[in-house]
Amino acid sequence: MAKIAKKLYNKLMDKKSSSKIDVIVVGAGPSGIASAITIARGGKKVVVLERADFYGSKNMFGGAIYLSSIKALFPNNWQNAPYESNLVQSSYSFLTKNSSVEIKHKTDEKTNTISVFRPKFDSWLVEEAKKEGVYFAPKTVVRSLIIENKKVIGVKTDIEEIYAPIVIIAEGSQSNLALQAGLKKELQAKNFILGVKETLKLDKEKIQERFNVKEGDGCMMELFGGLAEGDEQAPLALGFLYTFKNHISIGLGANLEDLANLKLKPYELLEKLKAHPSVAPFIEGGEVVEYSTHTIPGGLKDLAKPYMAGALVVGDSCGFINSVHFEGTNLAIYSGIFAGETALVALNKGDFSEKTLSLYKNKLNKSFIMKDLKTYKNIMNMARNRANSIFKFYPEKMSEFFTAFTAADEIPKKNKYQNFIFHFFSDRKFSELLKDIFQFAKSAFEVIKW
Amino acid sequence: MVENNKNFKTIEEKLSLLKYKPETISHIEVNEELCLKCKSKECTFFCPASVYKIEEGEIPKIEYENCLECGACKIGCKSKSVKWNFPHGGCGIVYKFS
Repeated sequence: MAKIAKKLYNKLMDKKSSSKIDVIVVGAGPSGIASAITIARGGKKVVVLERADFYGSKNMFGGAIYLSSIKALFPNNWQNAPYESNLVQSSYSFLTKNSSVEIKHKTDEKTNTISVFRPKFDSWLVEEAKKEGVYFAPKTVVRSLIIENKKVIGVKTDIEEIYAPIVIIAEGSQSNLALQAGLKKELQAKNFILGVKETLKLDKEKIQERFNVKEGDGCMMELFGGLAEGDEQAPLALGFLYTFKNHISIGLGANLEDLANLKLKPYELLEKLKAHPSVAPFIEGGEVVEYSTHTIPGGLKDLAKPYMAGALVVGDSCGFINSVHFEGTNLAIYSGIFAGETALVALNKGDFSEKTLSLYKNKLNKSFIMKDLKTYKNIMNMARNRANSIFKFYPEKMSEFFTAFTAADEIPKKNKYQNFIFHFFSDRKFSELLKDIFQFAKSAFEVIKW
Repeated sequence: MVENNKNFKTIEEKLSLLKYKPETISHIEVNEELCLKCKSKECTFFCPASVYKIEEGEIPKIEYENCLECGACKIGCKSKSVKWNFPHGGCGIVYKFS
């Protein structure tokens, strides 16, 4: 194994053996590739080291990318990526044990959101990057950074040491290198979401009929609740469903510490979601072709310091995830572009000091990345604290309201409303309601304040 | 009730669908001393590939061949006894529809 990787690497190096490497990028995901392409376009030599054999085969997400970042990276050929379905419909369902209340938005215009499969999509990114002069070394695991006098000067793989004035850390949510360099303190379960999903094969015609979409179009669903009953504590867990050309994905992301504390098995939660009477008809007859999992870092409070002398941290490695909007690849690609631009400035100056590379931080601060993370800085915490309200109590009350509203019987409607209001306040401690009001208002204020 | 659903898959069935490039050496190490102190063994619940199996004795059996490389064990282990690293280059899980 190691021999093959070494041979391949040597082959890559031979092509331009006279020139040394300007930048090493660790990880061939969207953030790593975006930074590598930016650097190659600036005429510098960049090598991407990737632990997988097939690009994208270690990567997993819910199902959709956002076109604005793909257009920013590939203004001329963004159309050629292996897209699946244009997601024209998004719905938000609140589930109880056996019912649901849904809000749906649909448009007949092309949207910014398109479903893809990561192995195909990431491989396309790699091929495009190769065309622009980026070198790739697959099957190459970076085990550590080489740090000298508080300055990153290279990386250690399983077989050798490779040196370059700048290393871009794009290894994903595990952040081994960021941890080693002290850019991240520790990975805490409370800050992580564990995602699990299944991909099911389902005929195109069935998808169009079932989800009421045209050929080429698709939908995404967010599913709140339905995972805890009675007195059970609800975990912070959010279900999702995406449609593809001939497939659908169904999964959920759950707070890792909640799973640990409540002793929940994520794959059993997934089965519970799949069996829900409002969800099961969507996946009926689908053949499960794959099960996949991933950890998702996140939130402003868990960010790594994005730079140090000789190194920049991008994408998941840094913690750039907007869980509220399911945005990951978007932030990954833009952070990669910013890191690439910063690396070019440093290379042209021949100065790889912390001060020069702090330009990256400025770019992040000025962009939507840091602004959005600040906007939602407390929302995950709030959702976790109020999980029983968000994922259990309010979905149940919504369902009760519609049950009463739609049942035409001999009970006078006025009594029904009064009964609903009475139970809304009497079914739970008043202090819980006050906590909800306070927490929701606080989060809402943080989102909209000037 | 859940088991009656036609789409129901046990974790073993889910894992059997997957393609791996086998790794011959475990990429997961457990500090036995620290692991022994942990009574709750949350890893046997939250690991999405059910890699950690309770057997006779106090230290879970580790089926590293089934690992999906999410790293949740490293982060979620309360006794900080799991040392998890990437498998060797090219080895481990190979997703196609992720």
